[in-house]
Amino acid sequence: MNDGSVLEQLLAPGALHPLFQPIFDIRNGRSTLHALEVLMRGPQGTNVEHAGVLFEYVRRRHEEARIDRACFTAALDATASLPGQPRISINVHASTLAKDKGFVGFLVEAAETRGVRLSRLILELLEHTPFWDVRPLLDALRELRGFGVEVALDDVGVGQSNYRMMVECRPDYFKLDRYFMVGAAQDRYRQAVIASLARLASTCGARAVAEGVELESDLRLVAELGVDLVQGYFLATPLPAAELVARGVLGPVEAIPSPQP
Amino acid sequence: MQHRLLIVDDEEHIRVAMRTFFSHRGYVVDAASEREEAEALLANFTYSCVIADLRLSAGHGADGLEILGFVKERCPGTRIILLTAYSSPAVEVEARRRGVDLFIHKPKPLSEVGRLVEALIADGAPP
Repeated sequence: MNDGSVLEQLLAPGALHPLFQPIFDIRNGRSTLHALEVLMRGPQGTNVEHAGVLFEYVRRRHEEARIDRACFTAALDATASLPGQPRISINVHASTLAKDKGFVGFLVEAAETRGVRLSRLILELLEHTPFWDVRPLLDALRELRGFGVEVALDDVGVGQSNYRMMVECRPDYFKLDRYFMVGAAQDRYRQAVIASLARLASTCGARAVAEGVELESDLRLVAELGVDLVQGYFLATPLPAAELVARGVLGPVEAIPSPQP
Repeated sequence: MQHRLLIVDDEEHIRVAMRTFFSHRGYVVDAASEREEAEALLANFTYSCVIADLRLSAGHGADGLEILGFVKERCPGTRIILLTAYSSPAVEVEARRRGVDLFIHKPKPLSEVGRLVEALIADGAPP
């Protein structure tokens, strides 16, 4: 049905536009591409072109699962055109994994159909609504990890991305919300939070990713505070797949270990 | 300071007319056709004033009252005007109970709506 609503516009073929933003590993003073995060944009010229508006709208319509599927389809279509087999980090609502019983099967088939190895995928868990029965979510994560998929907890430190989610989901990556990065060079509270989360990630056998690195001083600061995966406008802006390739942004790509049997 | 306005109306020609009118007067204007779209914009941007139609689609109740509640709870610095062609005393009483800044009965010339918005934003009190 097409009732002309914003939701129907979003679900129309070709409506969603994936951009890719590199996440770099800066250990040992070098900068190597670790992964590309997919940042989804809605139809150009609409209110939902803005990602914040897009996903807030989707959550208010309670349509996270349908839009998450559409986002994965668009992201994997674009990923298939990228050279070098980089890791791809894609956002998904935790509620989608918990409530959409067919989502894991959909994801596996969508990736395999496009020739994208599942061990290249990192799922970035978003959650905005607390829910009490996490068992279906954990079941889905276990199944996905069996295919070699890694798990990131997004927006760590704000909203529902809290200690409970860390304990329950055992993420491979803690993505520190950009809130902590803004003005961090002059704010000892933000510095303390970043350093603390970096240590916590390391203690849990995970890696911290600093989002929103927009200045050279930010980059120096997070490196000093123990974060070695970074993402932000200082290093690279989000770009469509074709432009990413044309500009040669990809460079050397880290090898991805084979999944453990 | 450039003020940002949000127009919420399900009729496209109304949105276009109001966007054009207020843009020419120096406002930054966003327009939404659905309640959830308006709330998503309000969650991401700060508005000086919201101008919302009371009924966004026939038979779906008074969405404008829901938007009013959202604005008063989440964006206390934002003024809100409800527009309606189908007012009833009960709805007006409810809108005032929820803290509407101004209730405008349609039709009203855009120039008059513009004057009321300007006064509301400038004084911080209903004109």
